[in-house]
Amino acid sequence: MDAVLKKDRLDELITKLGYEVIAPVRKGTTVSFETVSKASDIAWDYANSVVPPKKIFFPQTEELFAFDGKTIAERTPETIKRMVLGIRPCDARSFAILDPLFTKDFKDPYYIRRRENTVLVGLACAIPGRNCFCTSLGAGPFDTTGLDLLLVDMGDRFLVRSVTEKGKTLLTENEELFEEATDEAGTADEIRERAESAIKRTVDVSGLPEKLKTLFDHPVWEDMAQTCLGCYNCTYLCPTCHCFDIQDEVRGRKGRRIRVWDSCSNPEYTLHGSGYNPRPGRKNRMRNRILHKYQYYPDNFGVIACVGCGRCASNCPVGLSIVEELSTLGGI
Amino acid sequence: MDEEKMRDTVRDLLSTGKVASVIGYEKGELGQGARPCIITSPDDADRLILTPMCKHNLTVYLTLEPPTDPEKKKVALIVKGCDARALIQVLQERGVERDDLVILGVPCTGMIEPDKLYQEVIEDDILEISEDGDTFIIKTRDGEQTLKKEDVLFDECLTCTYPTPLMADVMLGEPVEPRGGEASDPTEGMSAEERWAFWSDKFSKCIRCFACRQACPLCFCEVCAGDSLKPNWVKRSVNLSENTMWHFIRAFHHAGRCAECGACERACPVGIPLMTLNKRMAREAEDIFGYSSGTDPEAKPLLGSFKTDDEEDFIQ
Amino acid sequence: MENPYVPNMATIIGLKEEVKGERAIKTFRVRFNDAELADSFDYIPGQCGMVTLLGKGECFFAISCSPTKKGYLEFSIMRLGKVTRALHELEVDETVGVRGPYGNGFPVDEWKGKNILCIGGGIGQAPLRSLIQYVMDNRKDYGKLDVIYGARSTADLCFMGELEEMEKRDDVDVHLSIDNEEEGWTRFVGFVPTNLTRIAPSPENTIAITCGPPIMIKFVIQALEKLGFTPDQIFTTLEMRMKCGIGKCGRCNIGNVYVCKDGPVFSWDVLKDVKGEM
Repeated sequence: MDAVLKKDRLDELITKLGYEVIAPVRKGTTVSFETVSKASDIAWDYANSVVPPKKIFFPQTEELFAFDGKTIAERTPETIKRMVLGIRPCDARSFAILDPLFTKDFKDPYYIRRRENTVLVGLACAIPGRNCFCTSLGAGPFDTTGLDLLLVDMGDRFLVRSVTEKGKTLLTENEELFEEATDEAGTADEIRERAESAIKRTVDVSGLPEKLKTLFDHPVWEDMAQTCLGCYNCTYLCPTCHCFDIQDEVRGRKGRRIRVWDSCSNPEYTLHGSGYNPRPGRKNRMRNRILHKYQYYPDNFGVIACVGCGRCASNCPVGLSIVEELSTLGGI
Repeated sequence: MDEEKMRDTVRDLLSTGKVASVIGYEKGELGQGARPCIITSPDDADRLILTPMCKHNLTVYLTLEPPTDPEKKKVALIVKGCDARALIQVLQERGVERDDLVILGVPCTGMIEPDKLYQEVIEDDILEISEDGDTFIIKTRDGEQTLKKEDVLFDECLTCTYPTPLMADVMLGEPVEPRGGEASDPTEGMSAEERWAFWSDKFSKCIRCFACRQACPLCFCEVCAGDSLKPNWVKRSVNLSENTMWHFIRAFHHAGRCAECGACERACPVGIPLMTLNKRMAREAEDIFGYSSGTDPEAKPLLGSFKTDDEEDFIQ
Repeated sequence: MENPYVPNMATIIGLKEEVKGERAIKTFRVRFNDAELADSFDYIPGQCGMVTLLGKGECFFAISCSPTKKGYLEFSIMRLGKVTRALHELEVDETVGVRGPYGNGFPVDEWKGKNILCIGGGIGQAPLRSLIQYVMDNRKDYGKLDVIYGARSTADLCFMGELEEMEKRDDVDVHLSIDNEEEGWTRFVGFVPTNLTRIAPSPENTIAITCGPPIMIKFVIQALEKLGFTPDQIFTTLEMRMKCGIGKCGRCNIGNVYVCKDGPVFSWDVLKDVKGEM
């Protein structure tokens, strides 16, 4: 279902819904997802945020519960209603990829409650980022996977496309703020075609999970990891990386158990208490990272754990490129 | 920067077996950037480049991991002026042994900050970058563009004091005079409250990716204070308080050691102005102790030694 | 929605020192404070629990007693790091947290009617003890039961009292060993794989399960294969650094398999083809 929202009515929508609104905000040279109170805070012309919006459902630091001596005080998972406004299709898709991990077998109440109580309103990409390669992964600048609504920026208004029942309901329950779409769909298609052809990075991932199964012992990993610094940039900035650490923080008798983002690039990640480390070198850790995203995750959940946002490549201090790595591996 | 001489030297070192590997730069995969590269075959010498995009401090690869090679084969590495300073400091601290290295020094006229460049030219359109005095000539698909060096160089480069490596076995170019000038400090003239607000704003963005630490040649502690659980100097929770603790610890650990190369600030994905902090500590080390890191391989590390006439005005 | 990260509090109702010294091993017998949970908690031998000491952390341990022992759980824990050191300081009536059961456990139903051969080394005997007690409590469901167990020295042997009692029985064959000669030790002296080869159990209708140091497992599997055991007759348990125990935090994977969720019990048939760092 298509509708139109005039940009100057956005504040009315925000006020009427009463949700906490999280949107891209420009601070200095970087853009990050923050809570906003009015539409003018939002940076509509951003390429993408540095830190992905996975932090909304999977915060970097999350209290699991508090304790006092031997008594546990459980934390009620959040049920506050939220809207993420202006998320890029790649980032929305990342939630569709992460959902099975957090819901299968043991349900993660923290992630699930936030997810259930949030509506995702995406912003289609008119101008792709430098290192975007979403189209190689079956996604694209106008992809709607994971979104409830998709906005296309048309200058003074948005074309609003509903994707899910949740999105449709939002439109119908607030129909007085929206207008009928007339010829916007045609313009939107033009924008989409231009955006898709502007994506310069491509990689062929067909058959890649199967191919990677044969490459575990290949010497290519040694060369690939040679210049890797072993920082956590690629993993922390990746929308689908989900590894975490659990720690207790105490002061006297009181304390809390937290989970925090962790990285498989960290040597401590697999370090046994005995001192033995099954992944002692950067080669082992880089191989595990790539195989996890492009072979193990598809094996377990049926989907490659990558959305082609290019953040890992853009922010790698030593210019390692996932597109190049995948092409090399696919071509062996 | 003599790229041809660099390649000839590298080819010779590898084919005669004088070194087992060479750490240098190659063309980056995405756009026109350069990136670190480690080669072992003389045939790969042509892969190595020397351009104004070669910003990385390659000394970091000497201290990144504890040495695993029992034979301790020799390594050649390419160092610019600032990189050589870091290397000299690492040698002072016995992080590596001089005999294990062949140092290829590159007198440097400044490195381009990619973001500043890409404001002016589209990254993928750049074919070649050459220097002409105080300008860069950027050859693109559509033609040529001339940009003033002072508009596109890193801030560090604009106020560089050691452009010519102070130590090298082979010098790949003619010595360069320092540009001179004081680095600008955005916190200059701020009151304590204003400075606290400034740094709180920056540190609250930190995601503890440790890119700063990993990119820094002088960060080579076996167990980093930022990771240690016993004692737990910095809690694992990522918030302003713990981030501030982390950055303060790192800045203090670098007093009198930091080579002011800027690798940390470049590696930071969220734009924390780490060099402002590190330069402040470097100035303190100079003012109080007359010590400049990485300039004298025979000098003793600042915080590992004392002089009997050290100032003691803090003892009242 | 149940919160899988929150432990259930339990009281230590018994403590037994198995091994003294630097790498001390103690068996903790705990009972859930919630009476309903204490009576209803069920699991399969080989499954594990996350034992918590609030303020210190959690560790993943095999439940070292059989589910046929009702009303309590036992964990045999070696003092190694921050959490286990703190656990070893605890006394009876103190509180710990337990969440679980996690992992896949031994396929005890599939093994009904078969002979069970347990080969353990050192603390590796802990998960096997759960299986051995289970078989003995369901004796007619299984065939022959052989227990081959060894350690570096007599001081490193766990569960000796129970094993000596079992030696006297005729429904189980116990073969103990220590690595080096010791005064007063009249049983076999040598490594566990050597003892196994010497005893030469028949692979006929037998399942072999081995747990212990990685090097011992490697040689035991070689010895078993030489005796004619096929890979699908050989099982082992693996260990990894763990945090969540429920297959979400990512770290315990070997290839596409999570040791906490898809393991820790693996058949050699599956394991020999898994590409990953163990």
